[in-house]
Amino acid sequence: MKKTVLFILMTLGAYARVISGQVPLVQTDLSASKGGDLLVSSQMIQNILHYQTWGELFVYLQVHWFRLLFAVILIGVIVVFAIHYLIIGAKVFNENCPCVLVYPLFQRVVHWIAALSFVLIIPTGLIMEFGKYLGGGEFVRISRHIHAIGTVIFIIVFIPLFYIWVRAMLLSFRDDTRWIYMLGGYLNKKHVKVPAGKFTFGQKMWFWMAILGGFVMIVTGAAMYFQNFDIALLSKLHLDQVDLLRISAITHNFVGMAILALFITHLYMSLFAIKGSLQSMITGFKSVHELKYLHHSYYRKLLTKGFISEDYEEDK
Amino acid sequence: MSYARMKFYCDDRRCIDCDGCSVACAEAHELPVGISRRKVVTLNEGVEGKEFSTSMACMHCTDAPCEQVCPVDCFYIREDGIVLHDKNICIGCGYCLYACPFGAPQFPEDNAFGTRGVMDKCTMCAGGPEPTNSAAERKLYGQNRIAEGKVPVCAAMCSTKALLVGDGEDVSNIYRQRVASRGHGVQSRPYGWSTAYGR
Amino acid sequence: MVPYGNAKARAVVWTFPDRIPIHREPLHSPRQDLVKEYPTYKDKPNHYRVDTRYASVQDEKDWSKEFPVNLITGRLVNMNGAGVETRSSKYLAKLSPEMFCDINPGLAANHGIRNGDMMWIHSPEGSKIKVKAHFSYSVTEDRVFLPMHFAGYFQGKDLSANYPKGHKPYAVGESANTVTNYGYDIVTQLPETKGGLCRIEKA
Repeated sequence: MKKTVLFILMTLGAYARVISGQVPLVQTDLSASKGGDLLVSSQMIQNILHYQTWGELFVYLQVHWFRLLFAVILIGVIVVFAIHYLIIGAKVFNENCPCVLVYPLFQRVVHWIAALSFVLIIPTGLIMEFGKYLGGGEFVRISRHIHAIGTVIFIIVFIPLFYIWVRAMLLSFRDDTRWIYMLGGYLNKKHVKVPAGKFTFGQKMWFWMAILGGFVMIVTGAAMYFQNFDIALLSKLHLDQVDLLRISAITHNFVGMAILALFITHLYMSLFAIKGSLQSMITGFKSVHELKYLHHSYYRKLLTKGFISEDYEEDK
Repeated sequence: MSYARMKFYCDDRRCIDCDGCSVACAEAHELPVGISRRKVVTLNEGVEGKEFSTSMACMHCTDAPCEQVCPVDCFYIREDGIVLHDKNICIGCGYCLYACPFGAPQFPEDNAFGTRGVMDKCTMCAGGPEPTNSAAERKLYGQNRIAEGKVPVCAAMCSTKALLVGDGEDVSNIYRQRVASRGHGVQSRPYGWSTAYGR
Repeated sequence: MVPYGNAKARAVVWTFPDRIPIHREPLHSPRQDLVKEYPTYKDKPNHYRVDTRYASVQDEKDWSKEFPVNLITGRLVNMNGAGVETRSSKYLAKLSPEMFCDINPGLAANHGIRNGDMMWIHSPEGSKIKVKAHFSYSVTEDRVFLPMHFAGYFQGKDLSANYPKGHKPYAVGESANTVTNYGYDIVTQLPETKGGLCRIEKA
């Protein structure tokens, strides 16, 4: 017990030294098992000749585009939804039962752990992107570590998240094309019956972005996090290690933008645009009224199976 | 009025891969082992006519890409062209490494988590933003030899004078002189070689 | 030794067995024809109280059949002697953190060894060491090079725990002298470290 406490204190101390920016005199492992450090090798010299391929592209994008695009997406998407909220307003459904249990407990737990990881990852990512305006240093450095911790949480729920919803999230051509044509009915103040299964195409987009994009983010992020690794894959790809890092950084930024845009959308939909949506993810129940309009195909399916009855009265 | 721009140059015809510069650098600045501010690399080892060695560190670029990409703007370029950074602002994100053509930025790794610390690179022995020759500067960036009027330790230590440092114009003048005098008045073979081999 | 090279005799040493240096094949020679042409000395009993063998080893058999690769040992620029001091300096140890064997990629390919693989080197003395292969064109396809500065491992076993507490060097590895061949200088009794044979295989 004493040892555990001591260990935790010592590791925290070591951690504090790292984030406080001190460079401790570290004794690296010089034993035979340790692979060579490719970043301190002739590969770096040979790479000077290939600098224009990925190096210049990375510099160009980072200097001129990444920060700008993140700002445009961050502000643009929020402004668009603010206008939407002012003009069209929220969708309000009768939240009284009859209700259907849409999200069982396990799904809710997984969702909220994933939500926690996104809440940790996305703001800290933005803090790093705009670190210049925050003065850098301690605050941004801690954000970088929270970014990593959030990633670990996301990795833990990644497979359960994929597993619980992958079948319901498979694209259905009939519903999804019609959903796109009517933009999910969000440009209509009145309730319209939106063709969608258990999940709308909007939700599907967010799910697949979180899964596929999330996977890309984990891989590219891990490459940048570990930085020094010695894998045979590199030589097969005819890629220098530093080029892999550059590609990772570029990919990480672009996929990050897409995830940011859809994350804000998801926040807006659940917190503002659809009243009671947040409640349904907490309790797990959705009212039949909401299902009838936003998930019409799912509603019809439940009807035919006899889980709910037709003679449901809307009270306006 | 034109200012001096400090530059490094490594003459790969003279470099003998002795690693004196990198060891001198590490020793002078008491660097952690994981950090190679300066390193000597040999290319085409053993291939006749193609093998050469050169010493690499931060080249203190005029349009330093690291300074451009840094998300927290921790770099600054001195009037004499030395590119330095502020370790108290640096977050250790690694972007400068991706932007650098020469692999100069180094990141210490911590034992407990294996996470990267803040960036460390060649300062051309000019310290950092802390008060010159203060204990804080010494601890974070190593010696400030430029402030003492000394040559950076790597070039000072170079046994064949392959590694040159100084105002870019002076360095190129020295190199030009070397190229021009190649084969003239320079002993290119050991004494008595021609007698021993009859040619 | 090349008799017409830099070591051309410029004096006669009348107390040496060879009054001027002449070429003699090493005891473990890759060339039997050269052994016949340039044989070594006769065995020398009581050579500083040690019975030292020369011709009997050379003529014992054709060593190159079993041990076809030349074995050369030598120094590294950052190391000194057995490396006790230099391997204990972290900045010097970092430059060559582990024992390796310079091997020509062509020779390595014949044995299925890739750059960075571990390989065994067997010597005619029956000893062997396990070292990391380091591709280099500075050695030809008929030889390997071993740096002489390492210690701490013996025949693949890590014995570095036996160092007194706090005295273990930063870099430890197999000692090249585990596999250098039998052979001593006829005058000074210096061991033969550069002219040996070995057999290599992938570990």
